[in-house]
Amino acid sequence: MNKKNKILIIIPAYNEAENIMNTYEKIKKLKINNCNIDYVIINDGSTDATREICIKNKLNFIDLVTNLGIGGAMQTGYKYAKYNNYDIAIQFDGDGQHDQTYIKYLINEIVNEKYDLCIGSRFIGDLSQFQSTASRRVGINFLSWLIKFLTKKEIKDVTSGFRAANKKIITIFANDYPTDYPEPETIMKTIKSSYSIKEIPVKMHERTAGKSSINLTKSLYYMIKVSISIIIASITFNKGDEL
Amino acid sequence: MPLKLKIVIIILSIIFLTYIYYSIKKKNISVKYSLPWMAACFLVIIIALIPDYLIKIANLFGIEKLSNMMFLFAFIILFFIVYTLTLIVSKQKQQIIILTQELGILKNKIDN
Repeated sequence: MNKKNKILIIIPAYNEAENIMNTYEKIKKLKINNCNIDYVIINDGSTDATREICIKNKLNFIDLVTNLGIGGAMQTGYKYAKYNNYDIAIQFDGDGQHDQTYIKYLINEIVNEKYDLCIGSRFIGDLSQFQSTASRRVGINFLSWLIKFLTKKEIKDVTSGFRAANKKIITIFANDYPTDYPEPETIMKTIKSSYSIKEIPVKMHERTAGKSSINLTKSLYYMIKVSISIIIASITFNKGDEL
Repeated sequence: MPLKLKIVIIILSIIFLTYIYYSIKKKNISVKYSLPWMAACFLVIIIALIPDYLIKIANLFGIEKLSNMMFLFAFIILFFIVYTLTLIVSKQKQQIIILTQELGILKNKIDN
């Protein structure tokens, strides 16, 4: 078995002109044993210079003609991974929050431990100094509790966008992915469809530039919508169902 | 139901039907999506023309005035139509997402 794993790092970018080259430089230097690492940037209809920077620096990017939101952008990456037959897809934010040194640990869980989906978590271990604001943590804890209540499976960092997925999950996410605030819902569906999830500790940073996509006024809407999505998913999807 | 109200309702329905007709002619609306609106117009006209039996039905539901039942009917029909439109919007949003994604992937393929 000397076949190298084809890895795709999906970098969603909406108005990330200030961060995108930093992210690219981090990824470019990345070398992992037995892995061919490619990347793709999803320019989600940015209104700033993200697209021009990608063109000027000849980055591999997918240009979405209109803004789809994080779910639609991420799904594009999974479709690209599926069409190009990648073994593992990694979600890696273009805003500098994620640390590329942990990508190899995510891959390890998929390749060697045979997990289907691996989540990089801020809330297990003590690697991460930056753990989000108090109010946001309350929300994350609630969603985590809700998923545990419905499935008996505990995932602490349900909103983490730093994840690795194997081929099965790539195909499923390519076919069906929630539109906005997708992470907790996809975790729920993955558990309910009997795929295995592993959460490992990673270090996360504060955003280096730009603003987070979720502001305080959207939080309540976010909580209600995601909770309803999770509850519906828990009713709809039984063991063995496709997503 | 007062005669004046009947006449007003029928005239409004006919004006609206005419408007639907011109919309279809100008291809601003497809026949498929005009059908529930046309059905609503005809229903309202029919109700206005034969109110005598309807008052009995209205009384059966505990509604005292026929005009109140008309409003209830109109509300139910509108509710149905608006919900159907929400379904269509949701479906179209999904279709636009797929189109955008596939277009993006295709553009990426051409550039490489």
